[in-house]
Amino acid sequence: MSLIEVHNVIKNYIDGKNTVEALRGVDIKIETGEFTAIAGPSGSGKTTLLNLIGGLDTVTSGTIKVDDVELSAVSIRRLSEMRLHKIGFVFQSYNLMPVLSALENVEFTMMLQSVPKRERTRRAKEILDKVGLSEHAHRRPPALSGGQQQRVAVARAIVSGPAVVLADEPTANLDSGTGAKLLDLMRTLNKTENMTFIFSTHDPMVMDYATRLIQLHDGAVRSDEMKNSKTAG
Amino acid sequence: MTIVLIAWRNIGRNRRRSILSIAAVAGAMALLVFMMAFQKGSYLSMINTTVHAHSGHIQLQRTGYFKDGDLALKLDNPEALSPILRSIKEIVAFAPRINAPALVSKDAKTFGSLIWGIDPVAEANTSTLTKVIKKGKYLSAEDKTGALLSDLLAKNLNADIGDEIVFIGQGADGSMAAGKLFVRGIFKFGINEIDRVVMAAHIETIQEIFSLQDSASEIAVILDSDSARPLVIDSLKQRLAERSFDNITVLGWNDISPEIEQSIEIDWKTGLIMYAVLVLVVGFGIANTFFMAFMERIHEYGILLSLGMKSLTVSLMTYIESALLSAIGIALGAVVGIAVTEYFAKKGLTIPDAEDLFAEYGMDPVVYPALSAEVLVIATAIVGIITAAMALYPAWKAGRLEPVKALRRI
Repeated sequence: MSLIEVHNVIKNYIDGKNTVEALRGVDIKIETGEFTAIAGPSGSGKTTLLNLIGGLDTVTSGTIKVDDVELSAVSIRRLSEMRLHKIGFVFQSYNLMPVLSALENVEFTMMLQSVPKRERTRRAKEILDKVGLSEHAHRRPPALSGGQQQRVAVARAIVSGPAVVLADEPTANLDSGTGAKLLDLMRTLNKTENMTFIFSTHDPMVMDYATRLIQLHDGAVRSDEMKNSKTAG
Repeated sequence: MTIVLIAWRNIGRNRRRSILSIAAVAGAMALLVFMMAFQKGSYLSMINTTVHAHSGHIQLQRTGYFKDGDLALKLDNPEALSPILRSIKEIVAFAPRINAPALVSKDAKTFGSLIWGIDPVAEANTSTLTKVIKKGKYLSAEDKTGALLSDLLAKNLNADIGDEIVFIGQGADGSMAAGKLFVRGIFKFGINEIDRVVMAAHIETIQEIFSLQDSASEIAVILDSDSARPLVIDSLKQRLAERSFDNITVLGWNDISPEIEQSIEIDWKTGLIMYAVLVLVVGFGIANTFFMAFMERIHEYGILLSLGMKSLTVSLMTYIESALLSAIGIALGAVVGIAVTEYFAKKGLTIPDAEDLFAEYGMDPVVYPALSAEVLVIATAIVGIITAAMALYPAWKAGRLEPVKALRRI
């Protein structure tokens, strides 16, 4: 059993009178501990595929299983619980809560999980230390640089030990140096914690870091190859 | 860190909008507190006018008199009740009276009348009769032949100061009661039922002519405050029973003039509906700011949903934010409303251009708003319920968001 099984997934969007085929029969299996990049040009279906794996959207047909749970077969409430306990998200535009400090943003997921205050603060501080932001723990997002915000987003995504972290173009808003540091951080977490990462990207640098590269084109898998990562972390 | 804390911090993000929302709620609340207190104050003024015109806050009567109006149902030796009345500290004045129906005549004109037998000294402390004399003068303590005529009765009789009025009626013992009096003064309460028919004369004269030696039809009692009325009525009943004064009924002004209590009740309820409509109109403006706050934050709700927050929790957080704004507005409005009301409760509020009219009827043209717990509770309930209802829609919408669509909204 693979961690993620995407089987013959089709996703159509209705745009006025037209039907847009975002994904056309995608089949993928991803194992625990992979560091996978889903690449392709704009409109190729990368973000759609990540959203479907993350349970943020529903398939038109086909099935997606995450940790042996078929997403289309569960209720909205159960999907929320899946996202809360099994999946971590890192978004292109960071998507931190602006009214919460870095520490509180990291604590937030654990608060939803009802982790006791003392325990979640301890873990959040530990993770912030790991991503090199312990000095900025009490700053709110607007007071942090883009790279720092994205590191907080990574910390938030990994703090409760999800089965998989889905990162939608995580370096798109970062300069190359900051982006490389972020990728180093995630690759290190991938290796040390055996945490599964799936990225959508069209950034060649991100593709270089990946150990598996899946190329999408017009909603279909064009190529799927295992490769050596650029950096060992 | 809880959703309440997040909601609280969200309020501080768009301060101008939050301040506007709070100001709208506070304004509605303050206005409501003041207007309701003003209304309550005007009722007190109306009650004061009524009780001081004639009825008193409380009356003691022989049981059955109020229903039958039979002169024979009299309070014998009313002076014996004085110690009981003086023992209750809330009672500031009381006066015995006789109400004797009679025909009054001057020259060839005769009209049906109600003759009040009054103790001029006690009456002066109990009612506003001395203040509503429009012509002539009030009765002196020794004046046993003088009479005060109500304005319309005087007009109908074509009577003026010094004129002789003769009257004829039936005494308490069934005998004929007749006499003559001389007009000393003409009064006008502005209460048609009194101004059309009443002639007032010294109680001793009326007692003698109507065979009511040492008796009275009623004792009118004035209290320091109408709010003490229920307590004093209970206390009087208890003390009368202890001293074996049987067959005496204690009535409040609301028993004597139930139409006034009813009109106050109708006016109050109509007012409440009007206030609710007013706050509802303000509420739509507030709803707009609540909804704008929701619209601006759809992307964030998408983040929360994608992180695994349940739809119900997202709804609740949205609702709490609106509820906090409302609660702050209500608290602020209550403080402002109380301050303004208390200021005018001390200073009074004169109804413009009505001083002369009020004075003519012996009424105080100044209304003193009367703040009470009831006013605060009802104002809070009206504003609270309407703003709470207005907050439901954005909360409901927030709970129905789809994560992907919400995340796409910037």
